[in-house]
Parts: sequence; C-alpha cells; structure tokens
Amino acid sequence: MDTAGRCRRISNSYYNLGLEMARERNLSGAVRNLKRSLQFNKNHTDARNLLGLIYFEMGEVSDALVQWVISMNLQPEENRADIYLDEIQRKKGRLETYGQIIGRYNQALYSAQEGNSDLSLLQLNRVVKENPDYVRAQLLIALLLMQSGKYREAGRSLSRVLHIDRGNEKALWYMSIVRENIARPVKKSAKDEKQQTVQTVNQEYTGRAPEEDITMVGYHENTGWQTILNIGMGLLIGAAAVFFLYVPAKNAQLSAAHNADLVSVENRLNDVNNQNETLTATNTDLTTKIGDLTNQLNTIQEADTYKLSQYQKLIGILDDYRNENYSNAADLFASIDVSQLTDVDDGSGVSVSQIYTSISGKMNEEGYISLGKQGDASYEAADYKTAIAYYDKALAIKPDYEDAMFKKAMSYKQMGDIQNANNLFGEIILKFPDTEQAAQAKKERGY
Amino acid sequence: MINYDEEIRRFKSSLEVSAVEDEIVKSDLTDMQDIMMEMIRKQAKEQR
Repeated sequence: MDTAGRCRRISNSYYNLGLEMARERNLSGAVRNLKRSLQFNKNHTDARNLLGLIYFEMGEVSDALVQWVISMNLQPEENRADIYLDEIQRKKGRLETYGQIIGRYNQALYSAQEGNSDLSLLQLNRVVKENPDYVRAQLLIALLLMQSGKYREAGRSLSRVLHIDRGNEKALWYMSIVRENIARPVKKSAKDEKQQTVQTVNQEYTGRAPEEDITMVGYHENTGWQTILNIGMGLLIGAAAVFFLYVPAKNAQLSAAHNADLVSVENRLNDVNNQNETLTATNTDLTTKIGDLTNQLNTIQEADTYKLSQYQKLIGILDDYRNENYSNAADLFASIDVSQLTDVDDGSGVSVSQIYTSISGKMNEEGYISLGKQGDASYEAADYKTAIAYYDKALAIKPDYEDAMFKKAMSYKQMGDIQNANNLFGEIILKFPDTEQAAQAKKERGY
Repeated sequence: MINYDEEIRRFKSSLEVSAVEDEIVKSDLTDMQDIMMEMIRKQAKEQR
C-alpha cells in the first residue's frame, strides 16, 4: 500500500472513531478524533463536515462556518456543507444573531477575567437564554457559580453541558467538585444520613432539588369494565359535542353564507334597476331631442322652400318682363315676399335686392293697372272669383286703388256674398269719401 | 483544590463571526500525506 493510501486508511479509522463518539454524544472525544482524521487526510469531507456540525451543536458557530467553507472549497460539488451553509444563511438575520450571542459571551468572559463576576453572570444568562447549548457559556456560568458557592445552580449548568457533550472533561471535573461540595457529610443520625445520601444522588443525577421534581398524581389502575365504560362515555360526550356545538355553528355558518348571498343578489338587482331607470330616462330625453330636432329641421326645410319660392317668383317676373307679359309679371310681383330676398357675398357681383328695386319701380307705377284690367276682363266674363283674385293682387301693390276695391265689392255682390260686398262698400265710403266710387258705394248700400 | 481565578483565565474566547474569513485564510491545511510526500521528495533529491 502506498503512502497516500495508508494516510487515507488511518484518516478513515479516526473518522469512524469520531463518528461513533458523536453518536454516543461524546462530542469532545469526537472532535479530537475528527481533527486527527483531517490531519491524515485534509480532503476527508465527511470528517470535516461532521466536525463543523459538532462545533455548531456546541454553540461554536464561527468554527463550524470555518470548517464548512473549507470543505466547500476542497469539494465544491455534492457536498452537504452546502446545505448546512444554506440553512444558516437562508433565514435573514440568523447569522447576525449568532454573531451577537458569541460577542456577548466574549464580553462576559472579559468581565469575568477582570473580576466582575456578577456582571459576567448577567451577560452569560442572556447568552444561554438565547442558545442553551452554548457549552463554553454554560461552563463559565458553572465556574462562576461554584466560585460563589452556588454548587446546586452550577450543577444545573453542568448537567446541561453533559447532556450536550458527555465527554466534556472540564464539565466532568467541575461536576466532581460540585458533587463533593453538595455531598459534604453533615453530622446526622444514621437514618437521616441515609436519606440525605439518596437525596444527594437524586440531585446530582437530575440537577434539581427534590422539591422541584414533578410528581404525577391522580393516576389509578383501571379495570376492563371501567375502560369500556370510559370509552362509551367518551363517545357519548363526543356525539353531544357534535350535536350541541358543531351542528348549530355549521347551521349558523350556512345561514350567514346564505344571507350574504341574498344580500349580494339584492344589491346586484338594485344596481340593475338603477341602470335600467337611468337608461330609460336617457332614452326619453333623447327621444324628446330627436322630436325637437325633427321639428327644427322641418321648419328649416319649410323656410328654405318658402325662400326658394320667392327667388323663383323673382325669376318669373324677370322672364315675364323679357317676354313683355306685364300682366303675369304684376301677378307675381303682388305675391312676392321681399323680406326673403337677401344678397349673398359670393364674389359674383350679382345683387338680388338691386334687381328687385329696379323692377319694383315700374311694377308699383303700372303693375296694379295691368292687374286691374285683368280683373275687369274676368268680371266682364262673369268670372267673379278670378276677378276678385286679380283685384286683390292689384290692391296688394296699391292699397288705395279705390276702383279695384269697388269692383271687388261688386264681384262679391254678383256672387251673392252681400256681407263682404257691403263691408267693402262701407270701407270705400270711409276711406275715399269724395270719390265717384264712394258715391256709387253709397248708392249700392241704399244711403 | 481548584484555583478559580486561574481557571477563569484559562477560558478562551469564541471565534467571532466577523473573524471567520481571516481564520479560513490562516488555516493550515497541511496533512500527513503532504508531509510524507515532501519528505519523500527531499530524500529522493538527496539521493541524486
């Protein structure tokens, strides 16, 4: 076997020994053997990882980190040290907490070495409260308590240490001193001495005074019938609990859920109704607006038609003029609504109002005469209705045209409409009293 | 008889978490295999 192989074999042997001791909770012995294992083979990853675990178990977190980080450097792949490191670093602030605990221990040790035992004990109590498995802290507490004569309390710390590390030589030594001091013989009777010895052994073993031991009371042996009876009563109590506690609670839960559903549906229904009302109101409003707009449109269309009609009449007048048909021109002139004729500044230079003005002079002077003649022709032809229409047009151009008004009245008389005829005769008498038509009108009225 | 003051002085401080990095750097990882190999190399050198 070569040198390397022998070294590995020796390393393995020490590792196996260390592992066995670790299983027996002899951590100090395990540490010694694992260190030897690594002295023979630094690449023994299991030995190094186990050494780190033991350090961690004893509260020496930094030493554990050192071993695990070195282990990861020597074997980066498939290494359980990765899991251990991840476990410590996963929870935020955990490493900082460990660091604070170690820092407090170091401060407490400094205080103790400076002679401030009381302050040191206070600091150490805080340390072990946060990490009861911190072996060094528990040992220092035990030593300080022993120094002040508090052997029983020191015994508790030492029991804790030995519970973690059975092979801790320092704890075993301190415990021997504690036992020696607790078991110091006192002059008593033989019976008392025997009892005292038993108590001392108990205290040493448990680390507690007898009065602190918990005693179980109220325990009795049960017979078979009692057991069956107890089971039956248990079942009955269970069934009653289900009936009186679970069922009402479940019913209440279902009822509450049902009520909540109803409230939810009602709320949704209200929302839908509100939306429907809003939509209906909007619809009514829009319908009204549509009606208004339609009316406006009709009015606009009618106005436009009327306006166009006036322009049409003006064109008709001009056409009749061109054809020298003055009678028709006068007819159209009488019915034209001049207010609808407006100029549009479209750059063409054509002015509708100027055209109208140019023809209106002649129409006002001669147009009504032409219309009167047409009325007379109709009157002679006994077409009194047409005659009245012509006379009206002539009167529209010249309202004081008394001859047209008289002939209109005569036309009504010929048609048998005496009332309209008399009204017109009366109007002539009043408006044109000194005219020939007024004299004839009086005659027609029988004045 | 235990000398408490002496015993307290023997206690060592724990390694601080902040000092872990320095401790790793300072670690001597030489094992028995390295020592043996070095000895064998020296011996072979001397024989030449």
